[in-house]
Amino acid sequence: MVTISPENLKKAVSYCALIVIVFYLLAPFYWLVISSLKTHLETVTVPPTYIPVNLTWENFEGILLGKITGSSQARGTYPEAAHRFPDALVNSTLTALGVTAVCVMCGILAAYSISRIRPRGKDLALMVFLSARVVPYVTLAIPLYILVRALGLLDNILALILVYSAQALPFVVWVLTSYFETIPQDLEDAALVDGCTRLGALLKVILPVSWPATAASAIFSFMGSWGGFFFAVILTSRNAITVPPLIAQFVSMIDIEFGLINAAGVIAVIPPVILALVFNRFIVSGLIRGAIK
Amino acid sequence: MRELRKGKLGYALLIPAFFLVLLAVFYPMVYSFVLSFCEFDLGTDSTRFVGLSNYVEIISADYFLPAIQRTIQFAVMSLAGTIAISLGMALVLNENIRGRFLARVLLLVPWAIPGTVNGLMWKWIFNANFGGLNGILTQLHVIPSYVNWLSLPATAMLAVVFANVWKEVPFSTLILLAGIQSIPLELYDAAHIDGANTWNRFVKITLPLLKNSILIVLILNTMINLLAFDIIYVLTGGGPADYTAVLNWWTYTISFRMFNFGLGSALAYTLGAINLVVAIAYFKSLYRRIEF
Repeated sequence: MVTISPENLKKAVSYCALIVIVFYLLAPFYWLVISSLKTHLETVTVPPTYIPVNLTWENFEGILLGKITGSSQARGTYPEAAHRFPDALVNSTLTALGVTAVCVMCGILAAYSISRIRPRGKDLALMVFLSARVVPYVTLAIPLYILVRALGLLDNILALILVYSAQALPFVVWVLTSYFETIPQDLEDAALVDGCTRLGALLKVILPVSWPATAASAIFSFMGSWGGFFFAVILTSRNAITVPPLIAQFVSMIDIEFGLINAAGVIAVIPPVILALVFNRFIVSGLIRGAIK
Repeated sequence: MRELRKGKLGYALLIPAFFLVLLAVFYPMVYSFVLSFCEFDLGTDSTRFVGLSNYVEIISADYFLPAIQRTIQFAVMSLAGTIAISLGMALVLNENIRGRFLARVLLLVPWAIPGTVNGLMWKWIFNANFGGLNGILTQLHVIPSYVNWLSLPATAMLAVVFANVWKEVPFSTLILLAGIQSIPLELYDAAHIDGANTWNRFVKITLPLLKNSILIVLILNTMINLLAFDIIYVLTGGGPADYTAVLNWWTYTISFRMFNFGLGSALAYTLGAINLVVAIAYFKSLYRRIEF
């Protein structure tokens, strides 16, 4: 007779639970990915196929290169908006890179001032940045729209860079300030005695040892603005439209093929998911520290 | 002299970040507070003070109470789902089993997916004619025929909550996992020697010591859920028949579809105030717990 010890039973239950967890995390994503690789005919099969029978890149060619397959042309399922996806991809990339550059540069300068130069009122400055983190973004939308319109920047990615940078900066300043504070003062003093200027010390001494915090700041700024929807949908319309609002537009259209939308979704997911998987440790520790503070 | 120079450089370095945050966070925040007591004319950019009439209009509007109800419904259901699933996940991922590190890495997949893509993905899963959920459930004979999940009042809110929870769970799981890992192992060993079973150890040790982590998850998730927007915009657009039209959805509609900026600002501030009250209530209970 086989007896199962409580220890082994617990192990077995844990493994089953682990399988359920992995299924829960990946199944929806898997459905998105395989749907982007199916032919149109297979997409509308009932019951659906869970492993694509005919793998095809035609949806990606369609959404990226505007290559219209004979069937979708005949059905009139390639609306004008789909042609804008490559431009939206460029806009999203420029916006996210712009936000990352602005946040990292302004963040490093501000954090260095607060943590090292410590001018009078630095606590107040830190308080201002910290309190900006809890402002509900919904209250900002209307004035930002009026402001951006007055500046003539509606439908311009500069407006998006400005708005998303301002929203990411408080977190970046906080991450960098708390990291700089852990770097021993002696390191910098030695450089200052050697005739280094303050900014020289920042560049040569502080930054080389702060790359984990700098990288975390860059990743968070990039991901936040890459997926940013609310302000993008308000502040852009046609020329500067980024991927998230364009995808939202696709979803509301009834005359567009599911395959094309799913391909657009998969492309939009690639940069953040790769960043998340590659920089897993940074992100996890950054998220946890950011939440607990 | 040196002090003065030090001060100047210090302030100079703060200026860029400060300017951006003042311009695009604090100035709009104050401006929209002022606007909430005004009427705004979009043609001439002129404002006219109207006192509390925007707020009065909100409270007497027939969409207001249902919107509050749906906001609470959405937030509470999302919160309950997120806490239950992420607590279970954190406990499993804390076990010493092979594959847990892989699962911890995979946790970040839902977290990293942009909100609109999450919406698109679930819209396609819930699709009434060709969706994966209908396919699986009919093949398993759970439902007799395909259901239009997002168009039925009975299921639309549930579907939106489910999609929202999927994206919120990883973050909460990470915080709870960090909390569980900070519990000293000796406590479990001692309980084991005393003959406590797994359930007892969970209730008597894990849960009480996890209280602060759970509270942090509660606070952050409530604030996120009260302001949920992307998922509702993409999945249901507030429908069917306003069944998923939460307060934030109305704020957007009135501000940027009807372009009523005064009323929109008042709605935004009402929502902001609700958010603040909830946050303060949580913080109070959090600090009371930490003190003893």
